[in-house]
Amino acid sequence: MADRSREIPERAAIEAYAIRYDLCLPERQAASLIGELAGKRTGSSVEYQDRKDYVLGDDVRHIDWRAYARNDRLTVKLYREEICPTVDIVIDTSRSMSIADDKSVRRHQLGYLFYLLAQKINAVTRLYDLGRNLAPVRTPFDLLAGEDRRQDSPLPALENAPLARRAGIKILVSDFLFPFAPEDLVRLFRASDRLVLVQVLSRFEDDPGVEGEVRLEDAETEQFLDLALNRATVEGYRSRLNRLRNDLERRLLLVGGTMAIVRDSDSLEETMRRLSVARIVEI
Amino acid sequence: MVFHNPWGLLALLSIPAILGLHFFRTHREVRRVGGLHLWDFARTRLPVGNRFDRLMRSLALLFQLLAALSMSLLIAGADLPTARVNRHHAVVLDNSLSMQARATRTMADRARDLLGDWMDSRDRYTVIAAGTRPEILAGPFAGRDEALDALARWVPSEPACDVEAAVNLAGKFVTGDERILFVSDEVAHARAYGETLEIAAVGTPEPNAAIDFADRTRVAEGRDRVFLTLRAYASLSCRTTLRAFSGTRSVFEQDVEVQPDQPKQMTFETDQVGSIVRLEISADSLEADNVAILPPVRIKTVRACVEGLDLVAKHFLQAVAAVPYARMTGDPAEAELVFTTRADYESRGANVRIYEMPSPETTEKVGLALGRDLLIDHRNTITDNLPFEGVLWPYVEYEKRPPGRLLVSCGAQPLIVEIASQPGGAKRILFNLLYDRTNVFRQSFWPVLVQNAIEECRDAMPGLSRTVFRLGESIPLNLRPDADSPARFSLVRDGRAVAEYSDLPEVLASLPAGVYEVRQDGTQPALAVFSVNVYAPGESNLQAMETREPDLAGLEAATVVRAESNRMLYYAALLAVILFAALNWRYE
Repeated sequence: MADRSREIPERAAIEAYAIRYDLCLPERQAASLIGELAGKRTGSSVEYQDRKDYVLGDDVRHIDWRAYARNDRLTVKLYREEICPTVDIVIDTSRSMSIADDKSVRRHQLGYLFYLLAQKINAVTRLYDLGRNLAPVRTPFDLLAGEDRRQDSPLPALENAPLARRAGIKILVSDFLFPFAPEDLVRLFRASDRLVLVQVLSRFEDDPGVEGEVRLEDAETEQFLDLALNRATVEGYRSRLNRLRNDLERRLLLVGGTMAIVRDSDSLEETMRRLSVARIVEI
Repeated sequence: MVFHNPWGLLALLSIPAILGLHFFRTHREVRRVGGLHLWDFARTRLPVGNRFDRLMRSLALLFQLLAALSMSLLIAGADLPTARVNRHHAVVLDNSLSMQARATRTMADRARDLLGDWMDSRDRYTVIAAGTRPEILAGPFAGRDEALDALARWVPSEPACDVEAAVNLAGKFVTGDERILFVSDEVAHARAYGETLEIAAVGTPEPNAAIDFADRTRVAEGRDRVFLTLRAYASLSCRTTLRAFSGTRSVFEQDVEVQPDQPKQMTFETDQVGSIVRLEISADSLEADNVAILPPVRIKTVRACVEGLDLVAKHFLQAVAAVPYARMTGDPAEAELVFTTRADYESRGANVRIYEMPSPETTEKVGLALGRDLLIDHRNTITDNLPFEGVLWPYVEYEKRPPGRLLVSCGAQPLIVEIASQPGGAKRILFNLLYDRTNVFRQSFWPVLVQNAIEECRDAMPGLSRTVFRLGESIPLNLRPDADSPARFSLVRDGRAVAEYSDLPEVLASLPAGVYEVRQDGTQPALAVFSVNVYAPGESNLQAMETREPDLAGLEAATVVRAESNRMLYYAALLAVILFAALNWRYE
């Protein structure tokens, strides 16, 4: 049973969005089970999709003999593939995701949303708790239980996890503010059909302002850093954050993945818009 | 350790202040973030959490605290004084005018040479000038340089040398068998202190002529008479030339031969009544007594009035006429001196004197006093030296207390009484004398009494009693400033302001020779002009000057242990401040 002692805020709205939106599926889906969902590729379902000239190697069972009788050309009927996708949703439950209530809530909302969208397409849906060494959980509500844990970097856990080597859709919800190389992260999921990264940031993490002397405290390591938050400092941070995002997006593009940036202070509608723009969800 | 400026220890409060600043500085606004690695480029210090960083932060604080401590010690004047043993000598210098006498060099220069050759830089000195009052010139316990500086500035100008007062003062700085070195131009006046003093005499007998006294008086309208006394202090007669100047204009010149022990009295008249007259005789050993300056005479005329004393008015008239610068007036309102039978006589000011007598028609009981029976208050200028012998003094007998201070009395009966008057009011003197039945007016007593009364009245009138004073004399000012002008007064000597006052002093004392003006800001002319001249025969007589070599080598000296500042601690503290500030800057 899911622990429902803690509720996900705006749950009804999320469920409404889950009805309205669909999860964008990958162009290719290797090694997925045959299922009820019509894939984007040509397959072996009964649903006619297109025809093409016969070439050596095509299944002779699909030659359209009637067309051959009409125009003396060998053509092959193409049928839409029927798929049964696998969706692995990894939610970062480390301390850095709960530095602000809004950030923690948005993480859970996204986890619930993706869970519902995966259920909607009857996908094999697996939820993982990244903060607890990728422990599988049954429902998003299970993620609400327990405190967030310290995790200096989730990469060791991901490297050793079987899910990284499986095909299917991989959705990672994290702030991605741990030290890592974008190519290493993307390479871990090279077997996946589609890698979706959703970066959830607090307002300060996404767009810090000029505030003067501040102390930044690392939620994971509890180290802190005294600095003067002036224009130069802020610009330097923004530049580095953008470079990280650009690197990630470029790597993701190469493997057909995508990435969205969600700010905890944004409305749910704005969040859905951002997911839509990043082609993670579609109407 | 001693602190020359203990209040500077308040700077130690900076230490808790620094600690407080450090404490509050660490409480800056905290922002929790998911990771710090994107901020690394902006770090201003290492993130805390490791031992090295804590050490670095502690070092910065430590250096700041040490710098504050060093600075506090510096401000407080912390010192580790070192004890230094010195010999101490007390030196008394003859500060009288005769030390200015010159042979080839002045006596004062000889004294400087003597002391300059004798003083040792390792010893300490207390130098006292013996004038009419002793004065410390250098020290106590001054070094040689300080003592020589004071000697270089020293100008002996006192009209006398009070050895006893100076020795008493010097005695406060000597201990045990220490002897005081006395440097003078003669030995005689210090011989009485032979056991206490080691006498060094630097004088030589020199012939000298001096203006012993000079003054001027008004003899007629627009005409002053100058009278002076010249004296030769020499074994042979002195020839000199007397010159008188009014400004730069010569008004009198005469060659004079002055015999020893025969003062030469001289007079001449001049029409320069409004100018300062300067008298000079030819240069000789002592310059200071060759000059006399005589400011213009300011005459205070006393106007007297007789009211209701018709029978004896002529006696008053005759007595007043015999006194210079006094005259009778018929208007009581302008009189400074009033003789009246009215007990309720009103007058206009504090400088007015009212002598009231009982009416001859009195019904009171009358007594008679004889001159030999009278009791006289000799402290009073009116009654002092009055020739009472042979006087018959009929008076009204008093059964009650006398109405004021008794100046003259017969038993318990008051004859002349100074009645207590209101502040700012006229001075009232009761003459308990029945004037129609006395022989007072035919006695020598009477003109003397009137003259005394007039002079006492003249003294009460604003202005100096005279314009020529002798060196060392006290000068009663008795001035009435302009109440509408600023209450700022200055004393100007030979054209230069030498003192300023917010309240005008009643008496000026110890003024050096020169021409003085008392000025009030914003008023013209000066409130008073007077001169101070030497007129010191004792100092002008250089015949008794002598030379005596002191036994300086055998002069006992006291050993003085002095704590001297240790400059090293000052420099060490200063260096520590700089060092700790730099280290703090390095580790901050």
